[in-house]
Amino acid sequence: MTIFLYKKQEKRRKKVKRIVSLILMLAMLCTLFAGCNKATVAGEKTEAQKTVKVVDSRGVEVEVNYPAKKIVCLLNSGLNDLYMLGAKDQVIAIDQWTYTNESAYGFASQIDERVKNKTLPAIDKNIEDIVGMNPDVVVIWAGQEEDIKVLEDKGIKVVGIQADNFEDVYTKLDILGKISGKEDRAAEIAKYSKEQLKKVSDKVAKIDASKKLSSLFVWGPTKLDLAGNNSTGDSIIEMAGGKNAADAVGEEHFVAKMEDVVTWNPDSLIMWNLKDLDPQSYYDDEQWANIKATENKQVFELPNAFYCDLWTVKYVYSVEFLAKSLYPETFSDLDIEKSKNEMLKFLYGVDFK
Amino acid sequence: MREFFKKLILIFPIVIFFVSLGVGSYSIPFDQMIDIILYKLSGYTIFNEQLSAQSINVLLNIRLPRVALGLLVGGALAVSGTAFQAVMRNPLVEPYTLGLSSGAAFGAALAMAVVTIPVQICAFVFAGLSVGISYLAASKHGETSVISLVLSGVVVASVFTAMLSILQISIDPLQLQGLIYWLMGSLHTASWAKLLAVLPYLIVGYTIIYFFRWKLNILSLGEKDAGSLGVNPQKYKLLFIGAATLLASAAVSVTGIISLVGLMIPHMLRMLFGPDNTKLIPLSFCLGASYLAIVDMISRNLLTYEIPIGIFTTFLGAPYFIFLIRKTREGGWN
Repeated sequence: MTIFLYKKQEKRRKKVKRIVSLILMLAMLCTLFAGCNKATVAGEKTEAQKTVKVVDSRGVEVEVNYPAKKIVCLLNSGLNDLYMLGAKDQVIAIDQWTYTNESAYGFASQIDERVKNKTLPAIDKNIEDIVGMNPDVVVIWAGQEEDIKVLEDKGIKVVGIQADNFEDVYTKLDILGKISGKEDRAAEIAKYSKEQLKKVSDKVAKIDASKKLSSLFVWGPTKLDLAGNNSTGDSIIEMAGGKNAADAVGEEHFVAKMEDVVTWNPDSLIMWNLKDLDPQSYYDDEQWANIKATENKQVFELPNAFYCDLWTVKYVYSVEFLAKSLYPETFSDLDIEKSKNEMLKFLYGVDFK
Repeated sequence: MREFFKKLILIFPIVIFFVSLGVGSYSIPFDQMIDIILYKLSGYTIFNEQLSAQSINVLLNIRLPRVALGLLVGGALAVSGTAFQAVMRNPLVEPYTLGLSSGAAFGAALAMAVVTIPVQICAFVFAGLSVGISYLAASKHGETSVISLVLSGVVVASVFTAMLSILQISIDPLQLQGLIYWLMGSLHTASWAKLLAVLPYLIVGYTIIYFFRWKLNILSLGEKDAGSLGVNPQKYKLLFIGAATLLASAAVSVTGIISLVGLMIPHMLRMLFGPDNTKLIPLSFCLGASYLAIVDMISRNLLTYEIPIGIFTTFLGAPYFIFLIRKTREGGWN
């Protein structure tokens, strides 16, 4: 009897054990399922992802995630556009030059804390670094064809930019506005710049054609590296009410013959912001002694590469600076310092030191 | 006939000097040119009572230093080539093929972009280094074959070109643009200041080679024969290599790389007048000077913008170099 009872209890214990094990297994399976989500692969386009199509400076149509949240921008002027557009946080890597150029770094570090702390990665020709970041788009100079090809071969979206004239400056802004989802801000900036420019052109229009001063735009690095026609240097002279003394030369940037400069005998010289040259270099050079520009001390240097940047809408300030330098009486009411500060505040929302 | 050609070559630089002075994009009529020179020398004129300040500026401050620099640099490169060829007993060597130009260009670029020591001195140091390495690398048991010297020159030039590339990628893009243009060889930045900066080096180099030029004939015989004739070959080899390096590096430091002048000119003269270096040295100077002044005249008048002169000398010199390679037998110096 005792043996029979013991066997029955043993059977029940085994049954309970089996039930408990089953429950535990079920519970474990449940937690396993509860801990799982539907898998996705990083970088793979989801069905809900919106895209935008833009035509870049190469004439290539590029389809980019909209808005692009991970932008690698390898040109400083593009980076400035993105800062102006308010797309700072969408930039994940920049060009090396922004860090190595003292002036560019000084200003960029006042706009972007990551640049100041050097935590925003800089790309220096290493394509693998870019691929590893899995960016939505890489913004790069259109001339860097080899780099573009390598990136595109690796499936990275690339927008090639070229800014040969001031129309291109607005096109660049428009493209970057579209990919970053800041189209309205891009339109606002373009409108502001064109209004500022109109104030200058209205006054320039009143200057008698015979009184317009001839000028040469110096790109550097030597005194004879000049801008021919169809160049930004040529445009800036025209917009400021002057005429390019070297407009017979078709080259965008050429090395002039000194004898031709004597023949042109320009009234003024406009220098890009150069490291090794300043107006005094011209005044001290005996070869330039009989040129009207040096005789009358009419050699002007664009004061700063950041706020005179000819590859962004800040070129408007350069036009104002030059117009005021060439025709101080016509532009007597233009406070150049005030205009510069207002422009920078509007574009970046920063009071620069 | 040879005497006539000799005299013609000796007076050629004077003729080219005046022709070059008269040609340029800024028009200065011949009578005005004469008057400007007379006015500067004596205060009087013959043809014109009034001279324009601009014409004076163009002629005296722009054209004159450029023409003079072109003549001096052309002469220096040709004399340097003649001396190298005689000392090394090799018809294919000249500053460019020895790797000297690349070494000097690296030295000059280094001084321009990074270190603050005189460009000429830095160019000379690296030029000397490149010639030394080329020569030592090609020498075996006191003999140097024609082709191995040219090949070691190619290797040395490649090394200095690579070092120059490192320099190029590490400097400012705008500075780089100027450096690249300068490397192509150009006289467009010629000025009195540049001319005066390089003149002492050219005078020293040329004087040494000119006064000891007869010893070049003895060195051309080879070290054993030179020694038996009472000339210390090592001492004079070093002297000539030093002087030729000084001439070529000084030229490179002001104009960049102007290639193959030192190859064409001595060879042409040797074909005309034989291997006597006492005649070849002054003739090389005159023909080299005239050649470069003519090439510069073309380069500054052909288009509306400046074309680096080194491009022309390479185009003209390269076929000549190929012709010489095909003509020269291994080890041949006859």
